Amino acid sequence: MGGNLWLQAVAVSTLSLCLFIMGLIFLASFSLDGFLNRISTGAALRLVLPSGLNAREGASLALALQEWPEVRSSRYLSPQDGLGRLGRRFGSLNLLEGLEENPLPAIIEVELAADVSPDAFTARLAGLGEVAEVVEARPWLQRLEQIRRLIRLITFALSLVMFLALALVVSNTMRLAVYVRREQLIILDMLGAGRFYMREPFILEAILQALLAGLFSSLGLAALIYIIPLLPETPLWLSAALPLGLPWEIPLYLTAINVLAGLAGSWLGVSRILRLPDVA
Amino acid sequence: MIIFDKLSKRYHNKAGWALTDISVHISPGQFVFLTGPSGAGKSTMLRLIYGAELPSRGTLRVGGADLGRIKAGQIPRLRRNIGVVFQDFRLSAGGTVLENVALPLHVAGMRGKKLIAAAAEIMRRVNLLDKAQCRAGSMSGGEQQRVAVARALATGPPLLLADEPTGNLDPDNAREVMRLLLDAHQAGATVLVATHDPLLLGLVKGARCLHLTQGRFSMDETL
Ligand SMILES: Nc1ncnc2c1ncn2[C@@H]1O[C@H](COP(=O)(O)OP(=O)(O)OP(=O)(O)O)[C@@H](O)[C@H]1O
Ligand SMILES: [Mg+2]
Repeated sequence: MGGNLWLQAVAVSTLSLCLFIMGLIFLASFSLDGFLNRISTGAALRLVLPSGLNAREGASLALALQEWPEVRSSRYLSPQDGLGRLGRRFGSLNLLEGLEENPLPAIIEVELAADVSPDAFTARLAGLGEVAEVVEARPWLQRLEQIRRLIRLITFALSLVMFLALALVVSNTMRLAVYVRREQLIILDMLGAGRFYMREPFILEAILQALLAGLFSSLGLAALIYIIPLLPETPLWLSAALPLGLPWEIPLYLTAINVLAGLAGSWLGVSRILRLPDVA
Repeated sequence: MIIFDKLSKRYHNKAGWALTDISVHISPGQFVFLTGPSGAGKSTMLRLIYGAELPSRGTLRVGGADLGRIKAGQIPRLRRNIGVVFQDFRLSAGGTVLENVALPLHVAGMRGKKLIAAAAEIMRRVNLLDKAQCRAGSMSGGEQQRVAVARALATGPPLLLADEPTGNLDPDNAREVMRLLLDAHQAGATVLVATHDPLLLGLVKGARCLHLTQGRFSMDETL
C-alpha cells in the first residue's frame, strides 16, 4: 500500500481537476438559470388604466382577469405603488423628491400562461373597453424559455463529455492499481476468493478517491466564488452572476458522479485482470 | 473424490495433446504420486483439478462438481476446498509469513482473534511460529516452501495438490515438507503429489503411484 500512495495522490488530483471543471460548468449553468429566473419574474404585460378608474375598480378588474384561463397572475398597482417601486429601484437617488403630483398611471401587471399569445389576449381585452393601453413589458420573454432549454442542453452535453473524461481517468487509475496488485489478485484467485472479495478493496479505494476529489473540487469552487468578487479586476457582471455561496447540490452531484464512475471503473478493472490466463 | 473419464486436454496455443484418454478414479483419503518425465502432463492434471484449465474432451468430476460444465462463479467455492502447493511457492513476497498463512482463512470468512489463533496454530505445525513477522520474500527456499504448505493446509481442505513440492529443496527440507503432507493425509485429506523425484516415493508407504508418459498413463501401482 505504501508505494501506492503516490499513485493515489495523482489519481485524486486528476479526479479533483475533472470535477472542478465539471463544477464550473454546473456553476455557470446554475448562475445563468438563476439569472434568467430573476429577470423572468414580473409582468409580461402592463395594462395602463384610464385615470377615471378608482383603486377599487382597478383592483376588482385585476381580480376578474385572474379568473381568465390565459392569465397566470394579475396584480393591480396603484400610482402610489408604482412610485414606491421606482423609489426602491433607484434607492437613495431621490429622483422623485420634488414632484408635487404623482405622474404615474394606475396599472395592472399581467403574466400570461405559457402558451398564450399576447395579441389574442389583447384582442379579448379590447372587448372590455376598460383599459386605455396595453404595453408589452418584455417582448423577449418568450425567448427566455428557449434560451433556458438551450443552456440545459449545453450543460448536459458538456457534463457528458466531462463524465467520459472522468470515466477514462478512473479506469486508468484502476487499471494501474490492479496491475500493481496483480500478483496478489492471482494468488487470491487461486485461493478461491470470490469476485466480491477481490473487488472490495478497489471499490473502497474508488469511493474514497471520489469522496476526496469531491471535497477538494468543492473547496476549490467555493474558494473561487468567494475570491473572484474580491479581486480588483473582476468585472461587475461576473460578480453579480456568481451565487453568494456554493449551491449545496453541486458538491453532491460531483461526488455522486465520481462515485458512480469509480464503481464502474473498479468493477471493470478487476474483471480485466482476472481474464488473464493462469500462469500455473 | 476425483474421477477422470476418457479425459483429453489440448492447450489452444499448442499443437498436440498434453493429456490423452486419461481415466482414473481417486478415492477419498488416498495418497497419490503423479510421476513421469518433464512434459508428461503432471502439472496439467493438477491444474485441471483446481479449475485453472478446462478439459478438452471427456469428463472430470471433483467432489461432485463437473469441471467441464462448471460455471465461472462456482470455481471459487471449489478452490476453497482445495489446498495447492506450487513449486515456485506463489507467496505474496511482500507480505509476512503470518499474512500469507492467514490469507486463505480470511478468504474463507474468518476474522479477528479466531483468524490469528488459527494461523498461529498452522505456523506452529510447520515450525515457523518464531518467523511469523518475517517477510516471506526474504526467507530461504525451504522456509518459503513450508510457508506455502502451511497456506495450503490452513483451512484444512479435504483435497491437497502439490506440484513438485520438493523441487528446489535439499533432502532434509524435502523430508520435512513430505512429513507435513503425510500429517494432513493421516488427518483424512486426499493428497496428490506431482514429482519426478524417485526418492520421495520411498517416504510414503502404501501410496498409489500413477506414472505418466507423454500424456498417457503407463503404470498404476501401489507402493
Ligand atoms: N500453458 C500452457 N500452454 C501451452 N502448452 C502447455 C501449457 N502448459 C503445459 N503445456 C504443455 O503441455 C504438456 C504437458 O505439460 P505439463 O506442464 O503438464 O508437464 P509436466 O509433467 O508438469 O512437466 P514438468 O515435470 O516439466 O513440470 C507439455 O507439452 C507442455 O509444453
Ligand atoms: Mg510440471
